[in-house]
Formats: sequence, structure tokens, C-alpha cells
Amino acid sequence: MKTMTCKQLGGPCDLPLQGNTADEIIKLQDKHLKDVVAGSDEAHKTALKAMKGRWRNPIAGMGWYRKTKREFAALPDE
Amino acid sequence: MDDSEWMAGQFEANRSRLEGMAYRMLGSRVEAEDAVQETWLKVMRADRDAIENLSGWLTTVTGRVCLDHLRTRRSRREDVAGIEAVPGVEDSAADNDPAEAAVLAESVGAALLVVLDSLPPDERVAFVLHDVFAVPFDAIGEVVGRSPQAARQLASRGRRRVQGTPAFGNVHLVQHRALVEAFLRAAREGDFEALVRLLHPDVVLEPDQAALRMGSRPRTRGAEEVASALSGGARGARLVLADGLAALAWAPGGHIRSVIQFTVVDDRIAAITVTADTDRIAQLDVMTLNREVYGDESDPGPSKDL
Repeated sequence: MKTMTCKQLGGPCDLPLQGNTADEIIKLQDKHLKDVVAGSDEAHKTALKAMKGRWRNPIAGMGWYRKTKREFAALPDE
Repeated sequence: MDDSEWMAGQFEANRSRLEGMAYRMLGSRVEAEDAVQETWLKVMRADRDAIENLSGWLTTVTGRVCLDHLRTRRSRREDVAGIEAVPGVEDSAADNDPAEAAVLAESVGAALLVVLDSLPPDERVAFVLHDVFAVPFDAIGEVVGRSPQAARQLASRGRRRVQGTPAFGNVHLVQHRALVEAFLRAAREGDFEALVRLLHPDVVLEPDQAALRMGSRPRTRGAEEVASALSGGARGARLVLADGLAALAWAPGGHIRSVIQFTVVDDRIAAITVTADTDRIAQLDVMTLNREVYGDESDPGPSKDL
């Protein structure tokens, strides 16, 4: 189990997100962004837009995905 | 180009098809986006060497993700017990009147989603994948985790439920698509006799004003007259789904200039409407029907750029 924050994943807050794989963390971050933006939070809107852009433009979005996987792999297990 | 870049490129090429598929399986744009995003995450961790047909694999993965969404959604509902009444779908149009059937066909796209929402998840997925997207039953079996024969039965049950709904009593999606495909083939080949056989004796070709300005034939009635008008045409047309039904689109450079929709009565084409009005086209839900995904060589399918 490893932890990354919303900020480490391109968001504006320090909410910790825990998962066994980078994919799990990415899905949690996606859900977090959607939840807070649905609650009218303006600060997370840009990050949500960027997250959507990554799968809508997958080739351009690969850099972020790879970087996140590298950063996740470098974290110590908890 | 490494494997993940190649996979990303393939995903990009299939993305709009997958979104359209997910939308029809889930009936919600937001949930469809979530499903395709989930497919994307699976693509990024997939082993390219283990995938023989990536387009088919993407369809399977998206179908499974949608099925999971539907099952989760269904388990949340406490009021679902068997088939519910379908709100907003009431009386059918007169059985054999082409004009009334044309009005009916316009409402099919939106109404279909309402009816689909009443189907159990497995039936909905099997029916949409087969009847709307022509996915073969062996692939559907992989999606729903059953044999191809069981998948066929699921689609068949879904079809019966859809056709048991008054508004869909006269609409058979597979037959509709087969007629449109046969029409496209006959028109391209200039096969006058085949066209006449496909057309209802009282068929009406109905272009809108914008289509007329673009050079479309004027309003024409009768099988031989319409066949004469269209034989040898439609060379640039592509097979699409428009508001849930098979149709044709002319989209030079990937930009839709006109959409040709069909009304079927008594197993024949009873009305052909040509829409070129940009506002009206913008209101249509148009997506490609990509038949080469499963290696159908008889129809090269439409451009992915539509």
C-alpha cells in the first residue's frame, strides 16, 4: 500500500490517496476530483479538466501517466 | 514507437466508437465517459503481445466495464423487479403508414434508451452489442461470461422485450441495418433491380431544403422512380447510426454534410429522408458503424474520421 496526495497527482489539495497500484490511485484521484467539483469546488476544476483530457487525448496524456507510475514505484511501501 | 504509444494510438482511433457503444449500453454520457476512461486505464496496463485484435479487445473490455456499471446500478435500485413500465413510450404509430412510421422513427433514438433501461444488464449489453453494433456472439459471450449460444439467447430476449414495447413493435434493428447496408450496396453498384426490391411500392424520397440546395433530387415517390433517382449514387456515403438506427452519412473530410435516414415498413424501405440542414444535423446523434472491427471484409466500413 502506498500513498500519494491530490497535489502530487496535479490537484490543489493535500488529500491522501492510498492504493496498491498507480492505477488504483489514479482512479481514486479521478473520483475525488469529480466529487469535489460536483460540490461546486472551483479549485479542482482545472485538475479534473486535465484528467479528462488525458484519456480523451491518450497519446499526449501518456507522459503524465508514465510520470505518475514512476513516482508511485519510487515510493516506499507502507 | 513503443508498445504503450501504439496502444494509445489504437485507443484514440477507437475512442469515439467506444463512447457511442458505452452510451447506448449505459444511457448516460457521464457514465459512458467513466466506462471508457476505465477502459483506457486497462489499456495502459495491458500486454500488447497477448492481444490479437485490439479493436475487438477494446469492445470486450468496454462491454465488461459497462456490464459492471449496469449490475452495480441495478443492485442499488430497490424498485426493480422484472420489467418495469416504460414511461414516455405509449401508443405506436399506425402499423403500415409510411408517414406515421417516419415520425415514429425520429423518436426511436431517444425512446430506445428509455426502453433499454428496462432490460436486465446482461440482456441490454448483448442486445446493444449485437443488434446495434453487429458484434458477433462469440465476442459477446466473452463480455457477459457465457457461451455464444447463451449470448444469442440474451440478445434475443432483449430484442423480444424491446419489440414488445408498443413504440418498437415495428422496428427491428438488425433487419433495419441489413436493409440499409443492402441499399448502400445496390445504390453504389447501380443495381436498379435490387434497389426496387428493397423499396416499398409507395416509398418517398424526402430531401430537406438544404439538401435541395446542395443538388439533391426533389421529393420523389414510388419504388422505380426513387430507384432511378438513387441508382449509381451514394458512393461517398458511409454507414452510421443516427438516433439509434442504421443510416447513411456523407461526410467529406470527416465533416457531416448530410444524413440519410430510412423508415422500414413491411420489410422494405418506405421513406428515405435526406437531411442537410446543419442545425438539424447537429441535433442528430450520429456515430460510425465500424464493421471492420471483427474482420468483416464485405463492407470496409466508414472512415473513423467522421
